[in-house]
Amino acid sequence: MAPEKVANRPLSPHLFIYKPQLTSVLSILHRMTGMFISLGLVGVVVLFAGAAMGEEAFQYVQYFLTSWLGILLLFAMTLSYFYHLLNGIRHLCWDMGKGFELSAVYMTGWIVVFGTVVFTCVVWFLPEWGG
Amino acid sequence: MNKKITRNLGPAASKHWLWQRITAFVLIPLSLWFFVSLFFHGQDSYQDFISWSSTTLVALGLLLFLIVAVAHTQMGLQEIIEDYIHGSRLKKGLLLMVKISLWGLLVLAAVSLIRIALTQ
Repeated sequence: MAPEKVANRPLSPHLFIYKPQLTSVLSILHRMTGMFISLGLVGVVVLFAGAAMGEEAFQYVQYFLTSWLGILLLFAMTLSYFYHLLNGIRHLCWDMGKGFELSAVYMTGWIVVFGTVVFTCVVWFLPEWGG
Repeated sequence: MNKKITRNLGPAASKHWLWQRITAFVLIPLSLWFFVSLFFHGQDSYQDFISWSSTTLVALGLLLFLIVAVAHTQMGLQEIIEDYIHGSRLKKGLLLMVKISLWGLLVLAAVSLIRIALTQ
């Protein structure tokens, strides 16, 4: 197939005029969280590689992860992971043909959003609340 | 559209679709187990971490998780690249780079897990 040359034709505005809706926002969020946790996967391997390289290397990794940047990344990873997991299940339901009614789409969508926040808070704050 | 292209892309696309769902399904319990494990062991001392991750069952679970996660990630990133990059050479190059990086990562992970198991 010949490579498509991008002709500089004017485009009608799309992104900035279309009202964000739960459907579109959650959809792109699924893609974005997917990309973000791909980086997390790299981090996971770094952790195990560090452990394999010895105590000093491992502690270096842990040291980074407990720094403010590390904590921030871990928090963002937790949010992204739970979101991608919950929305992924929502996707799998659609693949099985379930939940296409608009009311179900919206309801499951909100469940995903709240579930993400709740699970993240449980993981991050329950230990401090003495759970 | 060229019939030949459609026929060649068809089976590959369906396979991609199916494997993405299969890996996703397997990852639901597997990634949860992994996440919870990291939660409990991420801040372990070096010795505790090594003891835990060199346990046979744990090591196997970690390896299985990594394999399935890498496969799922590769397919997901492939989709993203195919959606946004249309220059044939750039697209193919990126797809190859992603594949090599991810599977190289997996090799690194496997070697690490083996080394950890051997220190015990």
